[in-house]
Amino acid sequence: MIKKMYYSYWLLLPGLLIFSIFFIYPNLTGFLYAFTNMDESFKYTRFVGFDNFKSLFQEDDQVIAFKNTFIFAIITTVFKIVLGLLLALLANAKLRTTLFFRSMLFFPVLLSTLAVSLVFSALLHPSRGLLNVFLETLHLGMLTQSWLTDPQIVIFSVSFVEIWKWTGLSMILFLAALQTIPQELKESAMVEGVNSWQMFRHITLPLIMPVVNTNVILSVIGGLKVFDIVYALTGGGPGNSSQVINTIVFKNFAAGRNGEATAANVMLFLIVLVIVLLVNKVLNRKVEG
Amino acid sequence: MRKKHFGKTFVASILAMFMVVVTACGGGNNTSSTNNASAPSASPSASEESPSVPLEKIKIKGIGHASWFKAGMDEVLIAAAEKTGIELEIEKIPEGMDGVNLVKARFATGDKPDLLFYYAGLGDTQGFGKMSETFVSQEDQPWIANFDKESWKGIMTAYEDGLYYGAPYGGTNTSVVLYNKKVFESLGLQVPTTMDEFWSVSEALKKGGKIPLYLSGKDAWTLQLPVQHAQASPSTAEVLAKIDVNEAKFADWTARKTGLQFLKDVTSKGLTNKDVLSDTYDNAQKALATGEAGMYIMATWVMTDIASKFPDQTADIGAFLMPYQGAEADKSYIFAPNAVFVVKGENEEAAQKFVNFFESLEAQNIFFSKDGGIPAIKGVTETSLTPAELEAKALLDAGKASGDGFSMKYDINAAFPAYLQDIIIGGKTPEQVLEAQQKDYEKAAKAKDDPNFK
Repeated sequence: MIKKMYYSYWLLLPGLLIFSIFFIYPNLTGFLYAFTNMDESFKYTRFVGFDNFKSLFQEDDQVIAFKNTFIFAIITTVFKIVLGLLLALLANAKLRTTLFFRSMLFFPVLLSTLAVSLVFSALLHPSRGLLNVFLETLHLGMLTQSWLTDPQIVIFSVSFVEIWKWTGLSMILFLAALQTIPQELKESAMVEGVNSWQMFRHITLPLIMPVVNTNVILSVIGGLKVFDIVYALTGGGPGNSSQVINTIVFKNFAAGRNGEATAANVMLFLIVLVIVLLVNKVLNRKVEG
Repeated sequence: MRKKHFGKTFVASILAMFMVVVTACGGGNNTSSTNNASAPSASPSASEESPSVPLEKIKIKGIGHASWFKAGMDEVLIAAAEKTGIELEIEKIPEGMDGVNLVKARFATGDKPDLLFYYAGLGDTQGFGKMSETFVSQEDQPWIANFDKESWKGIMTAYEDGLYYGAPYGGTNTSVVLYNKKVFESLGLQVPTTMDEFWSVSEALKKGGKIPLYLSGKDAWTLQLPVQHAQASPSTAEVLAKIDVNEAKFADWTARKTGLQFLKDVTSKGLTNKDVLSDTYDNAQKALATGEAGMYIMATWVMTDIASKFPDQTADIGAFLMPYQGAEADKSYIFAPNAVFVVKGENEEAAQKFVNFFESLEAQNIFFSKDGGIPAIKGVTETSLTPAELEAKALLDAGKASGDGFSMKYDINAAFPAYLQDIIIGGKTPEQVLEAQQKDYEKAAKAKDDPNFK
């Protein structure tokens, strides 16, 4: 008879205590503060009902932030997954340059967001930036844009930088999954005469579906919670045209409107929760199916 | 059996280690506060009374906009460490509202420095808590005897109790149109004295292949200068007093509207650099100094940077008043010196000692011999004013200045630079900006249960 050895539950206590103090308590009080008129000193509070939440949807600048957050999350998730998967398939091929290729594609993930933002600010400068200069050199001047200062396209430019920076991570996760697919399975499929697309569609994709699920969830969460790349690249500008929910949280917090900032944060939490639960449900159904 | 013993020993060791770590963390604080409380050199007179005794080194922390700390302050820091034993480590934060937001967030979360380098004239409602609870009053400090308290009352004092919490940091500055004299001479242009002349000069500069007026909109805070310059009028003080008590609206602030309209006009007429929102404060200095641009509306503090980066071109730059009203009715917008605030806390004694040293004539002479600005401390003999600053000073001396002290009860300026970018990109009209600011102000007032905004 095998006797299972368990550690006592009280050993969880130190960890739980720290988790409660630094995570559960601030989160619960955050929900409470979202309904108060708390100012910058954290001392002055008054119950204001749903006023803070209403205020979030009454100002154009804040509505733009919600719209931009969704655009950013969708674009970056789609591109990170599709490009990540394509690059992983490429990096999984047995080539002499495979190792170099993998390292090079993963390298942007290691860079500081601030450094990346500074570099891209220079690259995307409308008249001195390398991108527009390159386009001009190729006589493609009609394609040049004010990438970071045109309010119509700025959120797409920021999304591009995010995709450039983080696709390497998606690629590595997919690559790890691809390498777990048994070689025998592929070989027997080839004996059966399946072509590359059939191999990918009916063998590779179903087997890496759990990783696709994880990657999508991580990208959606990262996209909805974006702050650093937007703040460093554009500061939410020009004007307020690239504001996202977290820059609004920061702006309200810095303006001493802590109640409103907390309300925006609670909204973000609820949005992330609902979307992630939905995405998870849909993707899990596919995995099980 | 042996295994059982090992498990117990292991768990006990982990717990003991955990307790040691926790105790060590707590103990660190106690030690730190005890040391500081008993530190002999924390007393303002300690080093002076016993010069032969080696000074105890005390490290304190300050925070402020990166561009505020230049060669003058570097030398003062060295002198302070030698003479007082206080080593000030400065955390340099971004310019404009980015830095303001950052520092306010730090105070809100209790992560406070020992010294805050910030704008003068803070009040209880501006994001740092109640002044008397957050900062040490400077009213009884020795340096204040050498300072003209009456002149700066209402400008550098707290809105609520009229006390000085900030000691002057840097010099007085004023907004002007900085222009490249060589460029003007080469095109045969005169300094404009009316808006019609200003537009003509701008068109002539454009025809001459120069950027007429440089705007550094990537550093959005710099866009405030043309607007502040327009606000330098006694009518501003009157309308602000009414806005504070809800008897007037931002839309009634005609001087601000003039400045906003100017930003819109100069952009739509194509009289600025092409990439306003991608060009920086740094780009502007280069463009003005090298003659790529003819004019740049900025405060005189920029001359310190220009003098250090383009020493050979500094004398080419002059200053004049933006002729918004013409007929010699215009004034420049005067900026009080920035301020250094002693934050209440375990290091306040040492921080105050540093401030007292900084405001001494010895340190002020070191500071102003390297950095620009007109000193607010009396008796400073060493200054390094550039020709443009001297021209601006002449305007001040002639009484053509107004401005700072136009403080409002609630600080809503965090959003202002973004609104100015909105004007540049055509996202908002001047009227819409004023309307948005009215909303911001009412929101801030209501948050404080202001009876005038019920």
